Amino acid sequence: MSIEVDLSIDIAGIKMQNPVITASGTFGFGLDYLHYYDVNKLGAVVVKSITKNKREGNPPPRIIETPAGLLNSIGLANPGIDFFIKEVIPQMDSIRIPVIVSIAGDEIEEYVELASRLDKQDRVAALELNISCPNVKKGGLEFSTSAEQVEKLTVSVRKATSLPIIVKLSPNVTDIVEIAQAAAAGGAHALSLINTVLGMVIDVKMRKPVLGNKKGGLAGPAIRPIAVRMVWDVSQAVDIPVIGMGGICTAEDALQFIMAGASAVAVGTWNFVNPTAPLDIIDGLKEFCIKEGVKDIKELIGCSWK
Amino acid sequence: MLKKERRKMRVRAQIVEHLKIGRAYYLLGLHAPEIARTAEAGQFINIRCAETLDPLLRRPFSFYSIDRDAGIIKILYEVKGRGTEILSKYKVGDFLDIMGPLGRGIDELDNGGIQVILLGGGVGGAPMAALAEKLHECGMRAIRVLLGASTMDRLIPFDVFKSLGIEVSAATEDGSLGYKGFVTDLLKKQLEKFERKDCLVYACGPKEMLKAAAEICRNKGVKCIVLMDALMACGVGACQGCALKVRDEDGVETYVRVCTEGPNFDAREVVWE
Ligand SMILES: Cc1cc2nc3c(=O)[nH]c(=O)nc-3n(C[C@H](O)[C@H](O)[C@H](O)COP(=O)(O)OP(=O)(O)OC[C@H]3O[C@@H](n4cnc5c(N)ncnc54)[C@H](O)[C@@H]3O)c2cc1C
Ligand SMILES: Cc1cc2nc3c(=O)[nH]c(=O)nc-3n(C[C@H](O)[C@H](O)[C@H](O)COP(=O)(O)O)c2cc1C
Ligand code: FES
Repeated sequence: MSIEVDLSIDIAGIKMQNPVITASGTFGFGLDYLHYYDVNKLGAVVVKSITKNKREGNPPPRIIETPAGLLNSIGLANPGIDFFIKEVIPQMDSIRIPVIVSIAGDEIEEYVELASRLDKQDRVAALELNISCPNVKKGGLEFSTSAEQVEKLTVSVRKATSLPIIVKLSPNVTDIVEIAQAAAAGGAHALSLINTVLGMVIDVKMRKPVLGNKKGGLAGPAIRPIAVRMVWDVSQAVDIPVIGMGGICTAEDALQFIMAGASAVAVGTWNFVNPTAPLDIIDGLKEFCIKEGVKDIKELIGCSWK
Repeated sequence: MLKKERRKMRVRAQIVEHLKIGRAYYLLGLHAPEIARTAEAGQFINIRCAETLDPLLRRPFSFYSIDRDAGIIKILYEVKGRGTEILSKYKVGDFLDIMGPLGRGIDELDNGGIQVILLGGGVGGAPMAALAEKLHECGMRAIRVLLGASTMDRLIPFDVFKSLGIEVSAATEDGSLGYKGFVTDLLKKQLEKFERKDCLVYACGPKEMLKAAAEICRNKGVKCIVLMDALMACGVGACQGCALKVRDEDGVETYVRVCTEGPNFDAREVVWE
């Protein structure tokens, strides 16, 4: 008996064959894992955040393992938009699934410039705005913490491109729903959440923080319940689709996010441990649907609160 | 043109050998023909030591020996923390989830006829064994091995080098075996003996040792290749976690990824902080 299960999903015009994608910063430019499996089986890839100029990133150590987690302070190390367009995009020929490009900047103008340059690139299916950067002009306060700034940023970027805009939310805020609504009001086509949770580890022998940047962002299974809760809250408060992430390792984890209201899910840190996990998750989702008699995975989106 | 296939793999490899070596180290042999086929000295594998979520990440280990014909790769490791503690409990016949070969192999072997010194501090001597085998295979005979450790229990075994007919000199900080002092003192003496500059030093070990070796070699005008260590998350170039600061010829400083652009670097490029 073979039951056809529909895993496909359309998020703001980004047509994905299944809802499993990779999280920004954990999959390079989609090229590093080509050796390990057929990346084209995924729903989409999201590449490492790109900035206007090359960024060297933070001083090492940049990563430290924590209980069921990974604290990182990479600091947006990336080669910059010129290199990305000239050198990286041409190498993406073997990637046939949608490529979502994450962009980041210190000022609204930087996001706008990045968006208008990527607008002309056929290979780019959508933009994800990484708003967890300090806004230089606003005295270093993160965009992600101000609803007003997020709305302004989203409006400005929308004017610069016809590509779908996904705003990636930070969990390091008092009320993530307020920020989500601001992004939606600004015209975001979708939201993705969560980015990493601010954290710190201290080396007691050295009596100093372990990371070169002192503070870092926590990712991995340790943050999963936080992320599921935030997806649950946000997806009920906005009308645009939500991409859920935070510690996803298995199909069951992915289902938690989908049932909490996510239309798609992203695998981040777990790629490092089990690079083929996204494929196992796709298989696991299909299996679950067959067992539960679910013909279309879209039926499960937000089913825990609907 | 025949382009060398450098495929990276993730495999379940069966343990064919697992021995405690001295008081501090373990020798682990794995049947992984797909990896052995393309593995090069200086590269490494990333082992998933535990199936649980804690410890979460894989742990990187250099090739200690590569036997292409038998399809067996070996690592020599020290129990440092939880990951290696768990690893040490596996038995012959068990399977391990490994990724490799990762990183750049050592391919700067072209200056035929030169004198090569392999310098290893503690378990950092491990990749030198694979390198010695490779150099020997390439017909190089002027190889000298200098191994150092705090005490004799922490010296890596000499047998791989001895079986290739390579002379080994040891230094221990407590004088329990060989020269009493740092292995870099041996390096200095060795370089003083050589008249010519066409000598190449490969070094792996604690950062302080590498830094000292780099300085000695620089003063002597001798090229030194160092194998660098870094905390790693992915091991494949995707996360930018394993950053190392290097300086190019124009003095411009940038970060490179130890797992991808390394682990071996020209010591003159490394910014020793
Ligand atoms: C390319 C490469 C090749 C390596 N080859 C070998 C090898 O052949 N043999 C071998 O014994 N070890 C090797 N190492 C080091 C080895 O990976 C670490 O010792 C190991 O990851 C420690 O894991 P753990 O869980 O036991 O320790 P943890 O519990 O993670 O840590 C215990 C202590 O070790 C330190 N530590 C953790 N990871 C590293 C690291 N990568 N380097 C230095 N200190 C670390 C921690 O800061 C802590 O103080 C290599 C590392 C790299 C990057
Ligand atoms: C090493 C590392 C680098 C990251 N880099 C970025 C980045 O450049 N841009 C971004 O939006 N998120 C970045 N993230 C956050 C992830 O995309 C993701 O939101 C977060 O890690 C939670 O998912 P996870 O628990 O599955 O890793 C990074 C995460 C890690 C672990
Ligand atoms: S460990 Fe991830 S880039 Fe090197």
